[in-house]
Amino acid sequence: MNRKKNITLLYFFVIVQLSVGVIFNSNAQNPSGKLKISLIHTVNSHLLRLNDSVYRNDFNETYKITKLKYYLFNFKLNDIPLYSKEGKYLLVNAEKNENVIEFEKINNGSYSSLSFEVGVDSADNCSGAQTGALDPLNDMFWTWNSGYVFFKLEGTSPYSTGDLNRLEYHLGGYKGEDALITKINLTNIDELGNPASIPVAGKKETEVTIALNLDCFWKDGKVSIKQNPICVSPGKNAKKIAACFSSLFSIKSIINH
Amino acid sequence: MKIKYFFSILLLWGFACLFVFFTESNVNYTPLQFEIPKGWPAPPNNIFTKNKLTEEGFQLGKKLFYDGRLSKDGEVSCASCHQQFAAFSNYDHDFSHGINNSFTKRNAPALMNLAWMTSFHWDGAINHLEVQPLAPITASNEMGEQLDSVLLKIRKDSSYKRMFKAAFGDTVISSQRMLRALTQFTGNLVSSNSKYDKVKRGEANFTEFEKRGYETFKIYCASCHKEPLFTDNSFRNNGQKLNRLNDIGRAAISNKKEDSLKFKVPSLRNIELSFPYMHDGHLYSLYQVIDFYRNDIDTAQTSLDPSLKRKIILSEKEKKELIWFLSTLTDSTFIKNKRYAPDGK
Ligand code: HEC
Ligand code: HEC
Repeated sequence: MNRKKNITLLYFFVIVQLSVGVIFNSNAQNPSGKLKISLIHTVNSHLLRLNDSVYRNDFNETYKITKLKYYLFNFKLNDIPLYSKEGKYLLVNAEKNENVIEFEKINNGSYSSLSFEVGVDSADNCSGAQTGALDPLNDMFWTWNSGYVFFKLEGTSPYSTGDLNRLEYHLGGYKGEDALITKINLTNIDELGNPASIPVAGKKETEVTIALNLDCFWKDGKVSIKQNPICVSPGKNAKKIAACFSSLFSIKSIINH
Repeated sequence: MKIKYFFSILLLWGFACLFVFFTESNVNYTPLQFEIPKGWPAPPNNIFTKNKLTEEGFQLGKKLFYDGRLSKDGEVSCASCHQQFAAFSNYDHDFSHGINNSFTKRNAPALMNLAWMTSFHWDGAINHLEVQPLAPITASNEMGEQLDSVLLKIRKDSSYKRMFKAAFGDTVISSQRMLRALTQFTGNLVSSNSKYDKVKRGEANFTEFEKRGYETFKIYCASCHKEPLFTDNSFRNNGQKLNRLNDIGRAAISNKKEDSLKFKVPSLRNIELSFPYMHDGHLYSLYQVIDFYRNDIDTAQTSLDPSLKRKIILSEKEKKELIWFLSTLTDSTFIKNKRYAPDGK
């Protein structure tokens, strides 16, 4: 009887030891760096105000913005994929007070670039009904031509020839030539305009603010609102408008608390 | 002292086990096996890997399919345009009625053997059966509703709460669960018991007429309407003129000129029941269809399928035989199957 008890006790301690070992080990292996990315939206260097502010673009066209929503995914520091508990996709919505995604378990170090992709990766465009950021309830899924709207920009402009002067860009497309998934690679720049690193250190969280600058859509040499007020399906036109994706984003600030 | 710890941990563990046991045993799914009829290929993509097929999911999907609350005015259900007695096509309608006296812009196809299809709708615009219902639910000329309103409506119904719990383990009514349940119903509409199938299984024989019709079919039709599903899932131009709605078919989805006037090859199973025919339902009988293939193919179209460039010459007798054969594709057990009917189990 006594011996039996001893054996169970022994067994119990072995298990405790094992689990303690596992916890310690994983602690030792798991990097602890944290990164928080937040997005802000600007027009002509002013913070975007939905619905009421009137803006003017490089074609001298005035416009208002009523809606701005888009998907970002596949965040990386120096090509090392980042992990977030919040899931694979960040659905940014300018209506919200803040648009943030937090990453953890990053190796300490100073990184020279931050990259991500705009859109929804092609497999997730054809895997049926989804949840979370990709739930069709978010109104970012084309019901009549399966696939996600990657980038939704809506507003009005007197220069639009569309119904009710609507300005409407629903940009997306995951198939062949129409594919719009765009990789963005950002480097940090210091006050003097030189490349600077993005530090990730210890338990301190690094906060990177990325600005999306809406003027980029109608910069010189690109398409004016008059020429292109509405685009709501994948194809050549969407590709032309989305060509600005690569110059849309920039790193606004980096704070290491 | 140590022993005390040991026992309290043991006790905790026991509670945990009990908890898991009870929450698990609360849910009693009845798994369903998706059966592949003898001699048929396996479905190209298994739509039921992530969406586990259960009797409870199927019954929930059926309830949704027959429920008018999926539409804005509460009057239009999936079954308004997809009627079982017409092999889930819209009986005798070229275009179907949506809410507010609107009309669809295409003919409502029969719904069957959807699990074997690689895309949905005449132009293949829909890439997965689970997201297909979003199209009719939100289209202003079909059900004219918004997804969140549909969910609000069905969440108020306690019988739905019960059925979602039975199908998915708890009472959460999400868009994914609703769409998956609908897929369990539509994806299970399998028609494989026509006379043609019985002949293939050695349970029946064709008449002389049907046999000769089958030979004609194999020569002129089977390349696109490929057995045993009677479609090869491809997009082809079979030589119809651009209709009054300027429906260019696949090209509007692929943005490719060469896809102009191509449509998804429809299955010919239950074809007798699903008239009128073609994407706009402009041909009312199988006689008219065969006459079209004999005389009216528009050979001037550049995207016309090469296999139809040479004139199809069929005598009146051969035409009748071909129609006799097509009639052997009617599956009366499918249209009478109580499992697919709103009140049957
Ligand atoms: C107002 C009539 C109408 C209603 C209501 C309707 N449908 Fe349809 N359905 C159609 C038409 C028309 C098409 C063809 C659409 C096209 O090709 O553009 C179609 C196509 C389909 C297809 C594709 C079949 C194939 O072979 O490609 C499926 C599946 C389907 N419907 C299921 C449903 C479900 C599920 C519902 C309810 C959520 C529903 N339908 C509600 C008219 C309707
Ligand atoms: C080149 C491929 C091709 C060949 C060969 C072909 N078809 Fe078709 N068939 C189609 C396509 C594509 C459609 C759909 C066209 C549309 O809706 O505009 C169709 C539609 C039909 C329909 C209407 C189905 C429905 O649900 O509305 C019938 C019936 C039909 N074909 C019978 C035949 C017969 C009989 C033959 C042989 C004489 C034949 N087809 C040969 C491609 C083909």
